[in-house]
Amino acid sequence: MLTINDLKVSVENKDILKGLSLQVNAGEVHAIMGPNGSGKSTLSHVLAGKDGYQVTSGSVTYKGTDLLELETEERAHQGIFLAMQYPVELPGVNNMVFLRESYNAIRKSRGEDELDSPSFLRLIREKADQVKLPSKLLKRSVNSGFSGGEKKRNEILQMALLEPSLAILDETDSGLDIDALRIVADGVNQLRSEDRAMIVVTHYQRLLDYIKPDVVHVLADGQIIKTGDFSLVRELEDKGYGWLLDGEAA
Amino acid sequence: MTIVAHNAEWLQAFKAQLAQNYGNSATHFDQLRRQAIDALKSEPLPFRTMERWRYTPVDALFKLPLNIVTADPANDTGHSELFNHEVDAHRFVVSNGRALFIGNAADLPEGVTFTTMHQGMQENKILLSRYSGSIMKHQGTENTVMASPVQKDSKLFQYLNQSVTPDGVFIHVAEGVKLEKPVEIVFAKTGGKADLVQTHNLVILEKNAALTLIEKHMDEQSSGSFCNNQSELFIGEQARLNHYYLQQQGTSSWHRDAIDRIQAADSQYQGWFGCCGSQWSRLEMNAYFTGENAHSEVQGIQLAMNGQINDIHLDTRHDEPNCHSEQHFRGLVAEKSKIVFDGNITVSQDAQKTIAHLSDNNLMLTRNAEVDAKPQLEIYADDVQCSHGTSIGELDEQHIFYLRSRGISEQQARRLLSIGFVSQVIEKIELDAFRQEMLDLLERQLQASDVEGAFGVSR
Repeated sequence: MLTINDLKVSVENKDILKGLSLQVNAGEVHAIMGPNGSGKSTLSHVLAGKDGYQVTSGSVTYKGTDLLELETEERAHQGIFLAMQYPVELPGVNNMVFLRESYNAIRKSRGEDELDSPSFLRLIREKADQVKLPSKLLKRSVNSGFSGGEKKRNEILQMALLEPSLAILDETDSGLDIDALRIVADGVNQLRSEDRAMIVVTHYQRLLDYIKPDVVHVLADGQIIKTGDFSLVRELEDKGYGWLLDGEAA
Repeated sequence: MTIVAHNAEWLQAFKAQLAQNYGNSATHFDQLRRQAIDALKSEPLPFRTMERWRYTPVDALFKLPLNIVTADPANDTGHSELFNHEVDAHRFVVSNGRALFIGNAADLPEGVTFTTMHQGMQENKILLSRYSGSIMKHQGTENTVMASPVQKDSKLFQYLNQSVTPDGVFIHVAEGVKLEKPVEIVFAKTGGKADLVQTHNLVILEKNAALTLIEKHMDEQSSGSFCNNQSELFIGEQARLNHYYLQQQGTSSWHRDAIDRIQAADSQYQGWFGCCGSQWSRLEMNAYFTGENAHSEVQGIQLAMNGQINDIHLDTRHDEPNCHSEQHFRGLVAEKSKIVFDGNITVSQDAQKTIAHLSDNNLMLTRNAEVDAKPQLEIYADDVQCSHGTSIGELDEQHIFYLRSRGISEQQARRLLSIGFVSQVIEKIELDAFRQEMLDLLERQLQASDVEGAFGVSR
C-alpha cells in the first residue's frame, strides 16, 4: 500500500530524514518508535502533505501513485488520514459543520452523493458514542476549549468517520490518561481490516500494549535502524534506545 | 432634475435648488431646514486632513453624475419580494426615499404610531418637534463651524440631509406598550438611475415601551446612487429597543448612514449591524445617555471585498453615572478593499461607575487590503471600568492545513475559517431568521469574492 524509498527531507536546510525506507502492506499495523528529534513527526507531516518540508531525494508511492505529487486534500481523498499530535483549535468553526464538510468532501471526491443532514446526524452520533465523545462537543467550535483528551478523541472520531485506508497516528497517546488511551486503542482496533493499514507513531509502549502492532520500527536520526515484531517493544521497554544507538555508532 | 458630472457639480446644483426653496414658514422643521441650508453654504467638503475623514476618501463621490431628487413617487408598488418572510413582522418599505406602509395597519397594537415622516409632520407636529433635531444640542452643532480653528470634521452630509425634508419612517410607541412582532423596514433603491436618495427616520419609545426593529438597505438593481440617511432613536426610561441593521446594497452604490441615539435612565439598547454593501459606505453612530443605569450593546461585522471601502464611526458619550456600553465589531477585508473603524468612548467627570468596552478585530484575507482601526478612550472620571482594543491578523496556515488534511479544499478551508472568525459576533444575533439571513449573505459575498481571487490558492 505504501512504499517509502530512501526518503531524505530537510527543514530550513537542516536534514531531518536521512534516507528512510519503509514498506507498509494492506492489513498491517506498523509502529514507529524512537527518541525525541529522530524525525517521527516530520515523517507524519510529509506523508500528510504539510508545507515547510523539502523532500531532497527518494520517493513515496501510495497505491501505485506518487504521493508527493498530491495536494494535502487530494491525499485525504485518496484515503490518507493523519491524527495530529497537536490538534488545532478553530474558533467559530462548528465541529458538526466541519465534520460534515470533511465527510462530504471525501464522498464527493469519490463521485458519491453528499449525505443529507439527518442521515449525517445519525451517523455522527453513533460514531461519537463509539469514541465516547460527549455529544455537546459536536455543537461547539472545533477543539475550542476541549481538554487534551477530548481533542485526541475528536481526532479518533474523525478517523472513525472518514474510514481511511491509511491512518497515521502521530503521538496520539501523548498526554492521555489510561481511559483515553483505551479509547484511542479501541478506535484503532475497530478500524483494523484486510484492506486498511495503520502507522502508529509513538514514544511509549503503553499504547502499543493495547494495539499490538504487526511490525515495529525504531527511527533514530532520520533513519530506521531496527525493525522487528511486537517483542521489540518489550525489548525497548527494558533496555531503552541506548543499546541501538550505541550499536549504530560502533 | 439636473444631471452633472464634475467637481461637486451635483452639490452645486443641489445648493442652487435650495436657494429657490428657502421658504419663510415658522414651523419647527422649516426652521431646522433653514439652519441647515445656511450651514451648508459654508461647510467645507470632507477632506483627509480632517481627523474624522483621514482614511475615507470622498473625492469620487462628489464627481458622480447624480440626479438631485428627494423622492420619486413613480413605480412604487409594494416590493414585498424585498422582505424576509421568515420573520412575522409589521412591514414598511422606503423606496427611493419615499416611505410606504406595507401590510395591515389594523395589526398594530394600540399606542403605536407607525407612519411616514411626511404624514407624521402633518399629524404629529408637536411630538415630532419635541424630538427631531434635539440630538443636535448634544452634538453642539450650531457653533462648531466658526468656533474651531482646526476643522476635525465636516457635517456636510448631515446638513445635506436636513436642508430638505426627506421622507422616511416615523415610529412612536406609547408608554408601557411592548410590540410583540418586530417592525421590518426595507430601504430600497429601485430603478437604474443614479440618484441622490435621502431619508430621515425617527423612532421614539416612551417610558417602558419595547420594540424590535429590523432595518435593511438594498438595491433593486445597480444604479450608482448615493443614499444619505439620518435616523434618530429616542429610548425612554426603562424602554428597550432591539435593532437589527443590514446594509447590503450593491457595489455600484454609495451609502452613508448616521444613527443618533439618546437613552434615558434604565433604558436598554441592543444593536446588531451587518455592514456589507456598497462600494463606499460610512456608518456614523452617536450615542448619548441622559439618565443613570442605561445599557447599550452595539455589535456587528464589516465586510470589504473587491475594492469596497467600509467605514464605521462610533461615538459613545457617557455623561451620566452607572451606565454600561459594549461595542464589539469584527471585519473581513480582501482584494484592494479598506476597512475603517473609528471607535470613541468619552466618559465625562461625573460619569462615575461607568462600564464601557470596545473591541475591533479584523482578518485580512489578502495582503493587498487595508485596515485602519482607531479605538479611542477618553476618560475624565476616576472610578470606571473601561477597555479598548483592536487587532488585525491573517488566517493561520496551521488551521488551513488541518482542514485540508481532512479533505476540504483550500478555498473552502479559507471560507470556513473566515466565516468562523465573524460568526463569533453573528452568533450573538437573537433573532433566528435574521441570523440565518446574515450567514447566507456572508456565504454569498465570500463566494462572489472567489471570482476575484480572494480565496484563490496562493502558491
